[in-house]
Amino acid sequence: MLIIGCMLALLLMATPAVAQSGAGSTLSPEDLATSGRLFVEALRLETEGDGAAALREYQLLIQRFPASPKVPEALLRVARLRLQQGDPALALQSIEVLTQDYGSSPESASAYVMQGRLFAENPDSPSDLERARTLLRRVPVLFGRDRFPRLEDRAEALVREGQISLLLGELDEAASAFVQTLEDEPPGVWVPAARLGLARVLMARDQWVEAADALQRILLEAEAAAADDGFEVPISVLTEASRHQQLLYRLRLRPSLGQPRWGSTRLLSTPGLELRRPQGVAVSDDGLVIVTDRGEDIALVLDAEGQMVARRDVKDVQRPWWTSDEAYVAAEEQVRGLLQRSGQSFLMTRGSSQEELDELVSGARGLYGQWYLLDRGVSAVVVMRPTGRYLATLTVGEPVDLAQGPFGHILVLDGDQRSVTRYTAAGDAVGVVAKSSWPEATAVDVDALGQVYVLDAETATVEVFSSRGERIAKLGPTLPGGLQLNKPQDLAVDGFGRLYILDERLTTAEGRRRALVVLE
Amino acid sequence: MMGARNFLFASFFLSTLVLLVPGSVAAQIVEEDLPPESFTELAYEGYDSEDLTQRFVAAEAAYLEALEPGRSLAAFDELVSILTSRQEGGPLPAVERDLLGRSHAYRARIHFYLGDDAAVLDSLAALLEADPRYVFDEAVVSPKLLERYQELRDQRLGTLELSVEPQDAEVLIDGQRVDLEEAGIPVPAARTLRITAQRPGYAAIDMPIEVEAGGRLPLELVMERDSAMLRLVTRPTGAKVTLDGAAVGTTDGVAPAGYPLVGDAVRYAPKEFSAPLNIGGIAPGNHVLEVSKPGYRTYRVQVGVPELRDYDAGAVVLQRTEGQVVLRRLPEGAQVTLDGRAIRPEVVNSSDGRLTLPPGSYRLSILDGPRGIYEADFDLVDRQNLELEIRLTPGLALLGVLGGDRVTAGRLQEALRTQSADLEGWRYLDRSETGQELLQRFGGAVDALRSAAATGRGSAESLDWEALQRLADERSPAAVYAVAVLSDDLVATHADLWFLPAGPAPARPDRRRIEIDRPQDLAAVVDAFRQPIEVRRSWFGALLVDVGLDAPMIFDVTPESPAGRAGLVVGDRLVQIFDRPILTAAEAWQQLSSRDPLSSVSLTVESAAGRRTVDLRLGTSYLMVPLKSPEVVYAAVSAVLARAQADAGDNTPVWVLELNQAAVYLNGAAWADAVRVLRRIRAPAGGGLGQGTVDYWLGVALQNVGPEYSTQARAALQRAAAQPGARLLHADGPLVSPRAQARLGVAAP
Repeated sequence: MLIIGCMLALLLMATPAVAQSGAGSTLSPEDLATSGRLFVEALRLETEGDGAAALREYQLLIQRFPASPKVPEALLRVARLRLQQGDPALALQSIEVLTQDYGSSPESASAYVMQGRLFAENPDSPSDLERARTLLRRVPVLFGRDRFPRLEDRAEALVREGQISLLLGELDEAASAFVQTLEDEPPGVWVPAARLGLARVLMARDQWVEAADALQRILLEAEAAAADDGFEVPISVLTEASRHQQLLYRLRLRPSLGQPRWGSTRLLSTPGLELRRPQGVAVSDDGLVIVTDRGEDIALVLDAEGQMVARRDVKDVQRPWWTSDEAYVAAEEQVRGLLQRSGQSFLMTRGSSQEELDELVSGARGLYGQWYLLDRGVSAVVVMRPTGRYLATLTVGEPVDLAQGPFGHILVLDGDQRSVTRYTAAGDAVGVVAKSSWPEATAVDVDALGQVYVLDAETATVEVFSSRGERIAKLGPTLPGGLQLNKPQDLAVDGFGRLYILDERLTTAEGRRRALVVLE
Repeated sequence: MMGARNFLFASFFLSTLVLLVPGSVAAQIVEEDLPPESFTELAYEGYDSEDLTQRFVAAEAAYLEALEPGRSLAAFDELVSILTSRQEGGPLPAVERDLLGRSHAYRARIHFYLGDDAAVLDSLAALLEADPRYVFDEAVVSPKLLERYQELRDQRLGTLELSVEPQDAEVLIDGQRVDLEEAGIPVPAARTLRITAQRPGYAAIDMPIEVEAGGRLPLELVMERDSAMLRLVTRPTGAKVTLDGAAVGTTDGVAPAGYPLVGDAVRYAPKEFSAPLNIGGIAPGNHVLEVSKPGYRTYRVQVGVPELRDYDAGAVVLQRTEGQVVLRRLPEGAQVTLDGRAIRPEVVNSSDGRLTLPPGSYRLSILDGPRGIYEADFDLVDRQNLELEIRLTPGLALLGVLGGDRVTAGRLQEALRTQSADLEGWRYLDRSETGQELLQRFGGAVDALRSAAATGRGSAESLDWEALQRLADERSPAAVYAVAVLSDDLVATHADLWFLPAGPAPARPDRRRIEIDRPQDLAAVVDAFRQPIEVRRSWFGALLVDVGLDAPMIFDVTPESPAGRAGLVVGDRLVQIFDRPILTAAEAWQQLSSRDPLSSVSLTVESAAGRRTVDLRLGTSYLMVPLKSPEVVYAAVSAVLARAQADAGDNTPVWVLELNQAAVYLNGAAWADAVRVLRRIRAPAGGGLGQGTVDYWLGVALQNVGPEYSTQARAALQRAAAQPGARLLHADGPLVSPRAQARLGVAAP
């Protein structure tokens, strides 16, 4: 993103003369017709998939007939095509021309949204998110309802602004943007996303009944859409809403009724793998599971039903973790990407010397692309830039495990202090969020409500802490259904509020076994 | 001279004909074939007294101003020629007789000036023939001419000394009425004259007389009464009078000032009455007098005539034939038209008006801007009292179908008319004719509307909806205006229907697209008008959530709600409504919301304690129209609300109507109007739809009005946030409080 920003700065200094001269002049009827034909031809080429030819036609239209009413849309389409071609810098060039020279056109609202997305999708720092939010905030200001009663870009800008505010932990800002989308904008495809965003704000504020109400309205809208009576609800929004509802049911409603959070257990099989030295477990929000086994040096990726998605041999495999698009495992000397089969090693800078991290046991990917890596050798959580260069070290006594929580927060379990410390997405310590007298705290995870789960291997128990640090539950060693934890290794919690515990000696009806147990 | 001029005119006309008429037929019509005389005669028939007076004045002016008076002679000759010719057809009216005499007098003076003695004598003789009483002005006429005139008078006139009994009899000499006041009446001498005396109630006298030149003839006429006479005047004039069924005359003229009026007649001025009509020939006995005139009630009276004398039947005041139409609950300030003419009904009381009309068939139209229209056809007979209950129906006015494809435009117009004909609660008005002008002033409407529909861009930038609203409100008032825009000028495949509410609702149009070949599209649009707003719906009172189980779970129960009263608790799963299994919350809501308020439902719920059945009586909740819904035609909502607010019979609380009116403003981004309405609402406090809802929307509107209102906005939102049970749109709607807090979070302190 830094690169994009620099290129943008350069481009700003060299805005093309053609565009500058264009927007204000008039067009003869003949030129108007010609420009219209050019646009239609470009559109045809684009529709047929010939992006390069379409680009040429659009460019010709923009250069020859800058006063044509079709130019704003042409510039927008050029930007989109450039993005599809993986050239964000050229895309930004068109966006800049569009917003500067055709600023009153509704297409320039789309351009601001596109620009904001570019900054927000792969942010390097909070300032990228701030910059994206600034661009997005221009849309409701410059393209108000009085002039543009129905402008989908404005709703999109508001929702994306809210999502960025949510990432930054600015709940008031986020809630305001989502509520505006719901109440000030015409119904459209962004309404479900706004409801979801509002629900997430309410969840973060622990207004879970209101959150459930907002989530349920998404499902009702989806039903209405199915009956051809409304706007289609994106499947991603629908599944996330569903997931949050189950989470609230499990982790909020049941405790409020005095019922256990998890009422049943089941064992999740690992097809094709006999666990020998189960090492770690991670689960994505939607229930995809990674299990690592040190004895077999294998990492398995399973779907929510236990079907194998991927199996990778990983030497010295340690603990896994998920990002939105990749499954990672620490493997002492490097971090391996399981789905894209990548690997990366890291050098840590100490003074003037560099030291290889070769006892990596756990990790996480930060909100801004940073690597948070726990290395047993240096006994620290090391923060690396997305490029792999050393950035900082988090001051922790004896780090045992780490996890990533809401708002990109990083939580680090300190075995020495027997506490969990929370860090912001930028790596600043917020404070201790869990503390107990665990004899052998071995794993930590955090759910979508910000609740912290700490696994103690010696007592074979899991303690649950609220996002404010209050201990709210303790589980184990006996689990619902009679299973008993004996030597738990790792735990994870998914977006449905289901708890996964990997145990080397789980007591079951059939006897002791190495197993992954799921509490529901 | 006159004939020559007309001849020239005719020649020109005929010459033109020759040019226009082709071939041999035209060649036969030539000037010489037509005798000039025929034109002269025709021309004289075309004059009237006024024309002749003007001619005379012109001739007189020419005489007085000309250096040579002889040059005006021709003008007087022509006048004499015309008048003499007219006299051959019968006695001249007094004014023309006077003109003839004075023309002869001028001719005599001119000939005298020219020294033509023979012509002088001829002119003076003709003058005496025409007006024996004519007297020259001695101050301007030569004594010699006066002398000759007197000589001639002595030679050719005699004097009739006439008296008549009764004195009000009319006397004519050779058909010319004579003035009996005159002491001696100069008459032509040495020839037989016919003198006639007539007077209703008396036998007429008709006899010959002859007076010697320079001699005096005393004549006393005593008329013999032969019948009674009845005299009357009427108001108005022009009344037909019959006696015993036989027409005896029609009143005309004007009663003289000071004419004695008695009874009811004294309320009127004498000039409003006709001149007296004297009816003679009445035998003694009883008679039936009838006075009638179209548009008036016939006056009929029996009169007794005991003897032969004059009777005064008095002044007859005819009463108009008329009926009365009482307009019950006539809206104040409504525009009332009768057969297309604007009228102002008489005010009876604060709610009623009255029309007094002659008998006939009428079309009454009452327009009260956005509140609606009332139209009625009625027949009224004399003395009828008709009562009409004015119930306004909002009008849906089509201002036009725009686009060049006139065939499709016609089809669409007809389809709209047909589909809207039985639109209950609305009156469809095809205002295409007046709408055309409005839309022309709208300016470039077709392209702009197509562009607006295509891009979703809005109103204020390229289209002045407010101006259209204002114009339509003035020229073609209705509750909702519709403009249809065809997709193409050649072959339209679809049309956009733009609906604009009447003022003072925000000038924000709703747009609905219809495919031309899909009649169901238009039907759906029309359906949106059938029941554009619901103000009540059933209320359940619990939050049902799908949690991945096979039935929705209750997450929250509103205290004192139907669900709460029925004993439903958080954690219950709703598995069945009556016998219908429920798998999702959507299914449950579909079942519950479609039932009537206050109806009972049997629910089967499941909890940790087992399964149970509860009978639940649904509650009722007021509704607020959802904002920015594509299903709602806000223009129609606005119209219905305006009518409901004006309708005292509507049981919906005012605050609900006003809240919905505010919703229309909020939808149209008319923030200031929304604030104005919301501020005056006093809704019930507590849960559901109520004051918390009002405060919330007031806060939203104030936030949008501008930063200068941020303090007030914040205060309103704080009040809303402090009402935990308040909800947004319905008692089962989203809670107000979290949203108020969301808006407060970023609202300026």
